[in-house]
Amino acid sequence: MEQPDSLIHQPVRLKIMAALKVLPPGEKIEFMRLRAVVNATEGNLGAHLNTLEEAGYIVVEKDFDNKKPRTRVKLTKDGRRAFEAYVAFLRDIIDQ
Amino acid sequence: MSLSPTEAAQSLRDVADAQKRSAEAYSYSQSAPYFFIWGLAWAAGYGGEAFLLRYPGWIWASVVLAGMAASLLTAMVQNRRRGRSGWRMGVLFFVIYAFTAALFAVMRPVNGIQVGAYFPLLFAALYVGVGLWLGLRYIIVGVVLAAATMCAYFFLHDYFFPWMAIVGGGFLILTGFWLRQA
Repeated sequence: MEQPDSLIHQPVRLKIMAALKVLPPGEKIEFMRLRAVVNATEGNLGAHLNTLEEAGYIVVEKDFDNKKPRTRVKLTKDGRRAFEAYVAFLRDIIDQ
Repeated sequence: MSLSPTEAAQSLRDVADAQKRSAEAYSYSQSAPYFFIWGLAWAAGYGGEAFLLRYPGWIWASVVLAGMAASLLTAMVQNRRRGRSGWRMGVLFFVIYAFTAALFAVMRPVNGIQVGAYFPLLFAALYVGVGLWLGLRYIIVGVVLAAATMCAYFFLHDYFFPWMAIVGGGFLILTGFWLRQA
């Protein structure tokens, strides 16, 4: 059996990838909204986002919205493929 | 690394839960601008009908056209980011118009208050229906809007239009803020 992606395997990172995957391609989600969706602390979420960004699975964009700093996250094509492969791996385990 | 079927099933449940929450949050953020637009439109339309006491047809024609234009522009901006057109919004408006015209031909309203109550009740039903798939907040909005409209129709008949302007329009505007924070 193909080895699973150990990066995505971590529970919080799996939820992050799942939350991003459901958005239309190219759409971004704001940091605080993502924090609420995956139910993580800000520091914890930030650390996992760094890990996923270094792997090339997500892009983190920082800008300003009406002079307020804003952080948004979106999935890359590599991230989409990696997540789909990991979900297929999970389904294979159940189907066996 | 190995996973048991139980662990794999739990991971898939976590995935489904995260996707449901993310899709809900996304839907709320995308729909918030439309609640602002139509909240202002209702406040202007019902308020105009209440305080000007004349030309309700012209008031509502102007307000609805302005609301539709603002909604279509918003949809185009949102869809351009996704590389799609906002044609569905235009079709939706036509469907609502055609349904209303057909309904009024079959069941002609006897006064302006009935017409004034029809649209909030229609949209309340649509919100509840949409909420069954897209999220609880829409259901709550639909139920509260229907209750406010029925309350005004049966118990506040003489104050129906000011009530709908302030409570109905104001409620939609507050809903926009509420959904934006989701």
